[in-house]
Amino acid sequence: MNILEKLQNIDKRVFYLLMALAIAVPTISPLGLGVDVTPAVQRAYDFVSSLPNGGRAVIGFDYEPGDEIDLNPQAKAIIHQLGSKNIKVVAIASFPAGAMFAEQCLAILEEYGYEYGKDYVNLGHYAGGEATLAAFASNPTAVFAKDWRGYDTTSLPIMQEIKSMSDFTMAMTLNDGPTGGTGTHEWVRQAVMAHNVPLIMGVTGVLAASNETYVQSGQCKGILAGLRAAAEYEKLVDKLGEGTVGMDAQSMAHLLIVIFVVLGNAAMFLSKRAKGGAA
Amino acid sequence: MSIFTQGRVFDLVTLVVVTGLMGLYMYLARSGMRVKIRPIAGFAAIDEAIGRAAEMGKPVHFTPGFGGLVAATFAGLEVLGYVARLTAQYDVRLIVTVSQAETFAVTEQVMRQAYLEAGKPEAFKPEDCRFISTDQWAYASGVIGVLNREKVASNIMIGQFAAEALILAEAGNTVGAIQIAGTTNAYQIPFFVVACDYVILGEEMFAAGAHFTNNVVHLGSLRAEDLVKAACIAIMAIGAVLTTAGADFLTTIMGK
Amino acid sequence: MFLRKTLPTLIAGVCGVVVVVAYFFAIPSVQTLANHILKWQSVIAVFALGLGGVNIIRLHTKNLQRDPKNFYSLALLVTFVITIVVGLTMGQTSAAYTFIFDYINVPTGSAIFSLLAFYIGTAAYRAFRAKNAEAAILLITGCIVMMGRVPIGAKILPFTAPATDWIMSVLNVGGQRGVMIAGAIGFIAVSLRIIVGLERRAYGGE
Repeated sequence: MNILEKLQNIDKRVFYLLMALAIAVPTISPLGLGVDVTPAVQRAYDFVSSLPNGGRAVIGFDYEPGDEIDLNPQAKAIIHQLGSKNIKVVAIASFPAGAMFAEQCLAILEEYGYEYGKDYVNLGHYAGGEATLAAFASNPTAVFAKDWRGYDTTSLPIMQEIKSMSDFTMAMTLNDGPTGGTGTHEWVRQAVMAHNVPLIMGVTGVLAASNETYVQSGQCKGILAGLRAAAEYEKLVDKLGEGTVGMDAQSMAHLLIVIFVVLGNAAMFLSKRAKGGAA
Repeated sequence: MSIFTQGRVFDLVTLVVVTGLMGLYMYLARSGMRVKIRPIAGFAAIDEAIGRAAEMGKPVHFTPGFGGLVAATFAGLEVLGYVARLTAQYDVRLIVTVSQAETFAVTEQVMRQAYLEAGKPEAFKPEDCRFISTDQWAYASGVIGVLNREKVASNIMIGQFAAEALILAEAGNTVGAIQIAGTTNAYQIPFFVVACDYVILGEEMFAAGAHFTNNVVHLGSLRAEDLVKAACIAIMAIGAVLTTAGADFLTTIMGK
Repeated sequence: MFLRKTLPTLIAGVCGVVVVVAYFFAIPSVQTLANHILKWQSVIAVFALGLGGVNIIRLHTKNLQRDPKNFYSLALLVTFVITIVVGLTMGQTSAAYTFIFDYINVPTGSAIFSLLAFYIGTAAYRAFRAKNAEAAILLITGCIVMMGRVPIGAKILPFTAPATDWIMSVLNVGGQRGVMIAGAIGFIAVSLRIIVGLERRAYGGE
């Protein structure tokens, strides 16, 4: 096998090793490449900025372990912004793990003087996907009789202010896809179409393509896609964190894939040319 | 006060027209109207995949994906019915993995029914219909384990898939299985395209019932779906022209 | 026949019609009934989870009976029992349950998810070969988007960032809308067949 054939059939394990290095090295020792804020993220930030102080937001933590790499940094960055605007937050989760992530992310609100039950609440997990979200939208305390911490929701001051989805000034779903939990399409149907509540989405990188259509149609006020959006949002709220560090690793990983694709194609062309010349 | 919910009147009219059309064509198909469908390579390859497993004496793996009881899962179960009948006929072991609890009960029943239809109810082993986990990555690792330990000859993945799609497809590729995949999740289709031998693209999945069983209800429904699609294209084209010309009455009507 | 086919079809039909009517019409009594149905749905979903749990125990107990050295089945059953016992006795907000989540559940989930980084690379390397015009377009578009999505891409090849925005918001959205609309029409067809009892697979068979 000559060098050109070898370049077209590089052992998977070689790639795996290089990929591990490409991710590990910048994570341990960040390169500080920095990010520029894209219009999509700026739009989401501007939308939240435009909300009146002291409003109410419902956030769906619709993701599972694995996807928190993209979505936890997004959640934390946006919660910083909500905290700075004194917006009350109600968290719900269509995956059991989502309630645990909500608990981690909502802890940020304590920095802004928020009080549990009065200014924010984690209602926990609900089964049944869109059907239950629809029931929540009609009567939140009927679906969640108790919150994640075991308090009666009807006794919580924040829940006494909320009788239906329409009482929220914004909705957000942090979403890892339409399977298993409540997807972005379901949020558009139940929050935007059924109750006319403005929605923003935080999604994993791969979901950006299919949800961009909602931004263009005006059914979604802004979309944060993947770790990059988290890094950009961290820059906007001036709270650099996991997203910013992760972007260096992602940069190197993308570069490595492109290099391999280019190498494979270059070798294929040169090999064809050599065979053509020989013939 | 109107009994109609404001903002949903156009949606209601659309739903009534679409369902009416579907009902009409289902009735016409049942009354003898002929509906022809084009062959779909992914479906045609299923016989080859099962034949390969029979020759190699290895099992076939099938999964309807990570979705609950949604339309894409039902399309997957329609394919499963055919696959299970064929594997029962050829005495090929079929292992089915499921990620959602509510899907599990239906999946097991579909398998049981297919073995019965093939005349081999005793060949159905309940332990070969496996509920893995509702956790996405536990499901993915469980399926990878099955593909590796059982050394499957063919891997069929048709239903609703999310980020685990590529992980499953690459695991199948690594064990050398012939792979047929299909999903309606547009953003996962490219992953299946790069890693599988045959891919059923989006809505093609909904032709499963019509393709495998010539089910007249499904055939009629497909004809109606095509007509509705044509109407959607026409509305979009007219809407684009009108909006460009500055007339917004179509969007106003749609907002009613 | 009545219990296996007619009754489930009737229940599905009535529930489906009530929820659809409640969505389109402002009739309080129907909307109340629809809310009850939606609540029952979430309760039934939890029962289904119990059914899945029973299947897991049945399968892995059988595995252990066949081969007592089956470490995987043993590990699954032990962790299954520990998590349930901790969750039920100490509560989901307890330190022990949070420990299981933070230090076992999240890292293992992340580890499996991270396989994507490796697999996407090898799959792209294998499949992105410019063997014809269509493959070349796919390859070039894929590389532009990959570079345009990360800061290093904008530094090495500045044109990739605006090109990515254009590809994603124009070409991609057009294609996605097509798939989405066609898929939605298919969804309506399947839902209609379920509500009227013509989708035999929804009821397990013929």
